Amino acid sequence: MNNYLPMYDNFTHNHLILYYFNETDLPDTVITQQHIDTYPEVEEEYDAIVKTMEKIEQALVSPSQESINKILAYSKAVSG
Amino acid sequence: MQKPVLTDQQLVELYQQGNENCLTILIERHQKRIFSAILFLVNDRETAEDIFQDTFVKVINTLKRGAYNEEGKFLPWVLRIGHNLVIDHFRRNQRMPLVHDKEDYSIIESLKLTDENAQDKMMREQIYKEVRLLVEELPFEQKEVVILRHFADMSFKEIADATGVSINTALGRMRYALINLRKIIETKKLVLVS
Repeated sequence: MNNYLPMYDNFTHNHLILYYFNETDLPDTVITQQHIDTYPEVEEEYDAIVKTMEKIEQALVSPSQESINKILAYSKAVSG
Repeated sequence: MQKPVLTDQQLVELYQQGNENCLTILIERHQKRIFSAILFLVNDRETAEDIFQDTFVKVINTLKRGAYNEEGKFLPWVLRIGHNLVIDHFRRNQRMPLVHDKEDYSIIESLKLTDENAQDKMMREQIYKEVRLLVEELPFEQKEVVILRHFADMSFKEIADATGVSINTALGRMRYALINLRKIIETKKLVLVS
């Protein structure tokens, strides 16, 4: 898959990833926002990033209570 | 009246002053993100439980020594410790996960898709389980960048330094992780319930 989005000079998927994670500088932030607002393909790509990351959030799991109890017991033991 | 919520930094300071309950609150607050990050990397529940415990042993020792200096960044700090312990675990067992030469390695080709009952798929627990599996089945280097960036809040520059690759490679791994996750979700027709 080509890293460049069609027709948009020097605008790549990396811009969208950096934008999602708040790592773009001000000029790139403006350019990226303009591309998202202007081109439906870019907006679609950005929405896909957002939705995929949301799905990861839904996959979070907890450790066992036994692990937590051991950690708390260790903390109490070393606090003397 | 709503009770004020203590920040991580306040809880750390109170814990260092001897308030053990503050550690309980910190663990309750962050246990899912920390444990999931470790589990996604090692793909084994028992190993993840061990590394989760070892992570907090290091956290406790550092806090008790007064050596913690990551003001305001407790969770990323803990996740970096967990990540380092995962790498140590693989090195110790001489079973470092395979790093694929091609960044565009496609997870779809390596997946064994099964015909599952559509109704079962709609059950929340099953959906969660499947999504977890999706993340677990990503190539290690793609999972690593997702976890370090999304969970540990490290910048791509920090990830590049920590993993010994260029920023462009780190970005490329994130991009292909997202592509692979999308492909799997579409192929498995996962519809997640918020």
